[in-house]
Amino acid sequence: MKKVVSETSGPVFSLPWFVAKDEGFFQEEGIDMEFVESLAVKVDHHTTNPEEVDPILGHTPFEDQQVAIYRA
Amino acid sequence: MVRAESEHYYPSSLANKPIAVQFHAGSHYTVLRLLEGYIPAGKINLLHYGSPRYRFEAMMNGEVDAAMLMEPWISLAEKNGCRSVCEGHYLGAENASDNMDEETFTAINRAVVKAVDLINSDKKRFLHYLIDWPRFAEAAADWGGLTVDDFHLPRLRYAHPRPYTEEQLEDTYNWMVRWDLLNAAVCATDYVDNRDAEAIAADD
Repeated sequence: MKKVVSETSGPVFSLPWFVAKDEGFFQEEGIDMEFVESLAVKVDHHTTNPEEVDPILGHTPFEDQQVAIYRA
Repeated sequence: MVRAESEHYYPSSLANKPIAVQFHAGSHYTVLRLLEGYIPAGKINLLHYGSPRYRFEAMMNGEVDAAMLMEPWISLAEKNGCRSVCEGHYLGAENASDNMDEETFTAINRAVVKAVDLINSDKKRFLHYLIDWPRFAEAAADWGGLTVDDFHLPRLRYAHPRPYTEEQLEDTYNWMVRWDLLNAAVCATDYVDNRDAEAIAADD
């Protein structure tokens, strides 16, 4: 089995991945899939300027190389 | 989405009104695409509120006139009397790191294809993933929660993984440069590498 760690986002987006894991579809492909949830983004300053916001947002597991794949 | 008592029934009246989004995410780009057909760019007033829970709560408590939401937050808002003033759909894809080999990426996507087909065969069966997601369930409990019968199923759209076409990539790149969301000095192919995705499409 090949180990793969994937970042998940909101369940409406990651649903096929959750189902693929729970139904054994990844396992059938020889993939041992582990999920790491992206971080929720909560801000106190509600800026109107996109340049003040780090575009990485909650995708830090991918940026930190904890996961090999993420959805955007 | 807007609150039940809101005066907004169509996009044009949202000119200059605060709208909660998450900058640099789908809610940001989709709301620009939806509103630019109704409102001049200078009158689209977006505020960064982060994740959907905080956008939903900002709308419900009146901090903003509208919020850009996705499911299951849309269904929760509708259950609480809120309404949509415009809706759009966008394409999402998986991004793999440089060390993901083609064989593994293809195997992953074969599994995802099976899951997509299973979901589309009976969407209600899988709604519990959305309803019971801890980040959602905790917040939704304060707003009456959701059941599978609260969803409008055609809104949930799942398709097989596929690469962006060159035309989609180029059009999106030009749109982002026009909105000053990308540096025009960098070309579109610097951002998207479709090599593995193309291999998957060939195997489908």
